[in-house]
Amino acid sequence: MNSEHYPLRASDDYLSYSFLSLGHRGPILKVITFDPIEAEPHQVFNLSLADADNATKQIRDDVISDNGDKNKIIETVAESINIFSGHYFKAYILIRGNSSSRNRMYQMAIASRLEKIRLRYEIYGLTKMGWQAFLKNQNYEGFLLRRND
Amino acid sequence: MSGTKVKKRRGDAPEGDVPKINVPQWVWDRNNDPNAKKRMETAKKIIAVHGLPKGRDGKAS
Repeated sequence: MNSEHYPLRASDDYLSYSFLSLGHRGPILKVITFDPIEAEPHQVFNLSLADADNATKQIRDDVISDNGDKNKIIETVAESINIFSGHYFKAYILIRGNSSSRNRMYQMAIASRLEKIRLRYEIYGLTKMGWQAFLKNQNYEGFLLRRND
Repeated sequence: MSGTKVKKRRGDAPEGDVPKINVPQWVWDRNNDPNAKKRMETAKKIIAVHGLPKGRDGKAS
């Protein structure tokens, strides 16, 4: 997961990251957050990606910015996971889109990078039967990552 | 943040390696994210219902 990505700014606790999406609709400030869900017996964090709307001073995860730089944003999120997991080693990271189309996008992004991801992470997909090791060409409702190196 | 442990490992990038961009202070404030609470509740529910993946020993790996 070391392809081109936007420069990231991390919060002091490495739980939040910000970057500028520079697509055809102009600069859009994005925020990636790892929210703690569970601390014991395993740390679990929920990953979210949202836009920072300067006009309303709100963080919005329900907007579609359509800035034409989806792959670079995905690589930037991947880089934030690399940095985060270096500081919160062995923590689980839950990734879930707020719509089925976003889940499909995450699924395709993971599938296309699966070999690379597996070098560093365990990765699981959520089905109605529970968690299973991620497989290509399978639909999932969410994803769970954990560093394994 | 309370309740979380930062574990640094040998080989981690030193602090300060992340390039700096100008980020307004309000961006870091979780209170400015109206969907944060709902998102976390959903995530907690998923973990409560499905748990974590099982390892070979039948426990969360």
